[in-house]
Amino acid sequence: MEKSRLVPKKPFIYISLLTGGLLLLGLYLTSLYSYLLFHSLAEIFSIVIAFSIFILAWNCRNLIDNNYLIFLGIAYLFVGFIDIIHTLAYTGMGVFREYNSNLPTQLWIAARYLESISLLLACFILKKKRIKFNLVLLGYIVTVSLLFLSIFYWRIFPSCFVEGSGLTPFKKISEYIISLILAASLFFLLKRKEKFGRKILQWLVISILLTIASELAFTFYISVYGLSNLIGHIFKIISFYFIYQAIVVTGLTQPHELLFINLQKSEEKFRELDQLKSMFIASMSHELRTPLNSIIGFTGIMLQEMSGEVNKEQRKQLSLVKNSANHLLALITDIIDISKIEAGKVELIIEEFSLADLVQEVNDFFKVAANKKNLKLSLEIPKRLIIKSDERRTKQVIMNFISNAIKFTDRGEIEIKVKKKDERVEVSVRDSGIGIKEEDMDKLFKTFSRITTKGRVEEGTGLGLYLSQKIARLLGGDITAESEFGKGSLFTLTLPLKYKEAKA
Amino acid sequence: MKRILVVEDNETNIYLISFILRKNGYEVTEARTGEEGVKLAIKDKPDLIIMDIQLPGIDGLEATRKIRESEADGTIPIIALTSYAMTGDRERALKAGCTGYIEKPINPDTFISEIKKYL
Repeated sequence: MEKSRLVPKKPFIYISLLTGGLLLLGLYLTSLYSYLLFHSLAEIFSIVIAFSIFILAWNCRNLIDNNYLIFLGIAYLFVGFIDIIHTLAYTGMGVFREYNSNLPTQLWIAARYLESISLLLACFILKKKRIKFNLVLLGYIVTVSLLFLSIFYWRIFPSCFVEGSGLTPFKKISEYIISLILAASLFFLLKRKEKFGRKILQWLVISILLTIASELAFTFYISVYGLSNLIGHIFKIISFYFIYQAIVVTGLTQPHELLFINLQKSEEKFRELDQLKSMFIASMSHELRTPLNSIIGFTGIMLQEMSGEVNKEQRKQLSLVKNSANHLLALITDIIDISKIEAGKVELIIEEFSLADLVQEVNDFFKVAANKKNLKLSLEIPKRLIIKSDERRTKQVIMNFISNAIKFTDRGEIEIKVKKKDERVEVSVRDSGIGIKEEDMDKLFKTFSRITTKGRVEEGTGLGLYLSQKIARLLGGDITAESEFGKGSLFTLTLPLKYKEAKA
Repeated sequence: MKRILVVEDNETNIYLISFILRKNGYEVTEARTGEEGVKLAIKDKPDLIIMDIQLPGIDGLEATRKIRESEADGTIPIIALTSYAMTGDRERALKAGCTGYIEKPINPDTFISEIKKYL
C-alpha cells in the first residue's frame, strides 16, 4: 500500500520520463538556434527548481522531520540566486558590460562551491535536535554577500576564464575540488542513510552523482558555448530536479503518512492501555473478593449459631456486617463485569432458552421482596417464547430492572411484560414509583450517578443500569427508559430473537 | 457418616468449609495441594470432593483430570470452587470432569443445600 502511494504506477513513470525527455530535447534544440537562449532557459529551469526547493522546504520545515532537507532547501535559494546573476552575466547578455566571460565563470564556480559545501554541511547537522533555521538563513546572506563583494567590489576572487586561452588552472582545479567535496558529501550521506526513506536516499544519491558528472563536464570546455558546457547544464537541471523530488515527497506526501502512522500507533497504544486497565481492575477485583470469603462466610456461620449462641444485639451487628459485605461483593462483581466488557473479554454463552420461563423465574424470585413492601407484581408473558442469547446475562438485566422498580416504588404495582415484535423481543418493567426528573434522565446510564432524592438513601452499586446497558448492547439489543416524575418509570430491554455475532 | 475431601490452599477457606461441613455432620479430610488431593482421593475414595481451581503446583482442573483417570467408573462427585472473575472457570471445570461448581465466596446459608444436591 505504501509503495503504491510513493511510487506512481509504471505507465506514469514512462509518461514523466517521456515528458522530461521531450523537455530536454526541446531545450537542446534551442541551442541550435542560439546557445545564449539555451543557456538562459537551462539556468532559468534550474533556478526555478532551486527556488521551489526553498519555498517547499521553508514552508514545510515544521512538517519535515529531517534537518538535511531543510538545510538544503535554504542553501538552494542562494545557489539559485548566484545562478541568476551568473545567467545575467553570461557572455552576450549585455547586463554587465564592463566584464568579460570571466565573470559568469567566477559566479558559476562560486555557486558550485556553495552548493557542494552545503551538501557536505547538511550531513553534519542531521543528528542535531533543534536547528535555528533563521540563523542558517542569515549565515547564507552573509556568505553570499561576501562572495559578491569579492567578485564585484574587491575583485579578489581568482580568475576563472581568460579570453583566448580558456579556463584557468584555478577553475579546473576548483571543479575537481568541488567534485571531491560532492563525493565526500555522498559518502557521509550514505553513512547516515538510516535517516532517509529508501526512495529519498536514491534521489539524493542520483542528484549528487549528476552534480559530479556536471562538474566534470565543465572541466573540459574551452569555449563557454561548447558541447560539454551544454551537457553540464542538462545534468545540472536533472540533479536539481531530484533534490526537489526528495523534498516534495518528504515535505508534502510523506509527513501525512508519517503523521498517520504515528496516530495509528498512539491509538493502538491507547487501546492496549485501556485493555490493560480493564484487565488490571478485573484481577484486582478477584483479589478483593478473596477476603470477602471469610467475612461473608464467618458472619453467616455465626448468624446461623453454628459456633454458639448469639444475643440480639450481636445478631443485629452481625447482620450489618453481612449486609455491608454483600453490598461490597455486589459492587466488586459489577466492576468485574464492566471491566470485562470494556476489555472485550466477556465470553458469552449463546444458546436457546425460554425467555418466558426466565421472566417467570425472576418474577418468583422477587415475590418476597415485593410482598414486604406491599407491592403487586403483575406478569404478562406469552406461553412460549424461545430466544437465542446469553441466558445468564439476560437474567442479570431483567433482575436489575425489577430490583430497581421495587427499590423506588412505595405503593402500587409493578408490571412486567414480555412481547415479541418481529425479529426482536421486548421485556418491559413499569412501576408506579417516584419516577425520574427530565433533567436527570441522561444521568441514568452513567456509573455511580445515583440520582439522589431528598430523604431517600438507596442502597445499590450505582453501576446496575450502566452495566445492564453494556450487556444489552453486547447482546445486540438496547435499553430504553421513560419516566414521569412522581408517577413512575418504564424500562424496556430489547433483544434480537436470535443473537448474531457482532461484525468486527 | 459421609466423607468429604476438601482440596483448598487458603487456610481461612479450608477452616470455613471444614467447619460448616463438620457442624452439619460430615467427616472431612483436608488437602492443601493438587497432588495431595489426588493421592487422598485415590486412597480414601471419599463420597464427595470439593476442589479449588487455583492451587499451587497442579491446579484443580489437572487434579480433577487425574482423579477421573484413576477411577474405573468415575462416580465421585467433584464440586469445583470457581472464581467469578476468572472467565471460563466454570466451563473449564465441567470440561475437566467436575460434576458441578460453587462460586466463591461461599454462602453458609446455601452451601449445605448445594452440597446435598450432589450426595
